Amino acid sequence: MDNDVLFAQFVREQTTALLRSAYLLTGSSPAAEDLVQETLLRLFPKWDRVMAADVPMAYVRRSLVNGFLNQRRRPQSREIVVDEVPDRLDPGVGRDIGVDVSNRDLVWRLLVTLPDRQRAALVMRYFEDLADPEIAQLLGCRLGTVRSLISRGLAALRQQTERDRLINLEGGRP
Amino acid sequence: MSDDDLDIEHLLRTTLSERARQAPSGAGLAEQIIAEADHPHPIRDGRGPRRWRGWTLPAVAAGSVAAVVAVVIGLAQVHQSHKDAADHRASATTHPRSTGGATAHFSGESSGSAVPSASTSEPMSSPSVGLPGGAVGPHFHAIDLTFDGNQDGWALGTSGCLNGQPGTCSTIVHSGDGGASWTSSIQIPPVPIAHECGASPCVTSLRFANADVGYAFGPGALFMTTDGGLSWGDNQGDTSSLEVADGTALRISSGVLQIADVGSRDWQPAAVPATDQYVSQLVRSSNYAYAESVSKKATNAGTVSQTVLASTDDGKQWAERANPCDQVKPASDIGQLAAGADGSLTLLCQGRTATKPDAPARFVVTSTDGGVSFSTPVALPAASGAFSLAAASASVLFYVDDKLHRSTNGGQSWAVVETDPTTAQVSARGQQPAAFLGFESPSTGRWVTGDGSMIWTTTDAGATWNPCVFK
Repeated sequence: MDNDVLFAQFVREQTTALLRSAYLLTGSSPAAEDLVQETLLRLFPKWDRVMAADVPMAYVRRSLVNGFLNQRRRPQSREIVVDEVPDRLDPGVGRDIGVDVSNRDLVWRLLVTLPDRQRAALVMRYFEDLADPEIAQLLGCRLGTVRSLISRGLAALRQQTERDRLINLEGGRP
Repeated sequence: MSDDDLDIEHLLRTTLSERARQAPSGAGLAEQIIAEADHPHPIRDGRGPRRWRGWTLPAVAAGSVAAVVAVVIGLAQVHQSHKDAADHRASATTHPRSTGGATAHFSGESSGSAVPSASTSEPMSSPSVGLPGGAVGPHFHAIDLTFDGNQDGWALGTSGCLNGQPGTCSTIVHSGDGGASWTSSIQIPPVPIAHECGASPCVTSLRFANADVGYAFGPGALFMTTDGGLSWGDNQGDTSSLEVADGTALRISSGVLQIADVGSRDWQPAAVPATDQYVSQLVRSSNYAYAESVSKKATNAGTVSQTVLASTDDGKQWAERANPCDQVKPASDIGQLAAGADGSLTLLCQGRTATKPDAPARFVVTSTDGGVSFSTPVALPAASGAFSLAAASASVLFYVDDKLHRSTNGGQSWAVVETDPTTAQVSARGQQPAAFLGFESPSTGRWVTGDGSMIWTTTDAGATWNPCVFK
């Protein structure tokens, strides 16, 4: 089977999965589509190398993350676009569910403000479920660096969610 | 690790899983990438090739796949789910299919008169749970729904594991009384289901043609049962959309429209007018079938060529229709297709900058002659975020954003459907407006809320709705 056919087969099967990762990295649908498209087209000329990898999807994912990090280093790409900023749930809605939804909205908003490498590390661990050594290989850094990125990312999220909770309590939210 | 660490990690997992549901499906984008690779375009501005926004197109299971691939819980729980599902399969294959077992673990609450109420008659952790006819696991969340007639229904979803283990398990539940009560009735195919999906093959959708023949499908997957779900056959390949009616099954496999007799594995290419099209959406109602196709030669939004394919003989012969969304200004794409139970076709035309803050209005157009002609586009009220469209008939239309809206005059005016105040806002709990919204007849329809925790049923063309709440 030639590379064109293999490429087409891979694209048809994996674009949806790649878009999910790209969406979580970039925070917006258009940016996710651009990232996936650029990544795959960049890899197409050397697709035989991709298919020779033990796990072609891992190869592509690494390229996707690198593309994301390189893209975001460009000054004109620093704008953070999100598809939507969800409204807070009506306090009248069941408290537990409402608080959960509100927290998830908050975490999402905070996530897009984290440094790109922290965000990428968190997405790789908590969405892709990659082990720290795999993330280190993917980000091209040492294991200790990965753990530091994740630790600092979690700390930032925890601090902000707790702050938000206290503000809401002071504001009399049920 | 402290409790706080656990909390924030769990919250982060849940957040990422839910947000991933909002990613574009990529059905059209994949073809665009392939076309771009085959025929690269000159670099315009040093930043890469011209880009065509696939998110402006509806993607096949745009409602279903995006909505379905959701409800994801922590991946650690998913691992448990695989184990439990395997246990479930291993232990249940010898049991006959039954609809008369323990009543589902849910209670119905009513917004009006008829109250579909059911009680739990068997403990959730009973040793027999998970077997055909057993109780539905706790916190069941539906991700897709299918009905054969107005009594027999099946829902694909997730719930707490019935063997008492922590985590989430995939399940298919059955109702034999029009959705008033549910039982965990049948097996699941041997691939990741819905919330477990990370790559193909995985199952995200479910359709049943009758009490015996059903299809579970998704990216890279189509499994068919001919024994009411007691067993599932071999994988028949990628299926992004599948609809059954009148003894035929139609599916979209890797962008190709195919047809087979219900229960047959002999899928043949449908007789469509052009073969250089990528089919990305499919809807059916009685002998009418409609699909949306995109030219494989398209290279950017300006040259995207969308057409409507229509069949009036259960998908045997197809004709190409003009794209009515081309009439709409500013430039719009076909967003969603909805087939009314009377055979009508309603299209949602959506501006190409629909996710921007200054999004143009959405429009609906309706055809009552098999897509030959369409009504004048009617603007929809401004709505933000995700959006699901359905049609009971040419005149009775519905959409869901954070509430359910109904029109009885083809979209000229809309009213929010009044629901029980204790449950009215439940749609806002999910990230998608609806896991399912559709009509089996001009009067009977179902709405599965975005978070999958409630199935609403109407028997009066959507004037009133009764909720079934899974707890």
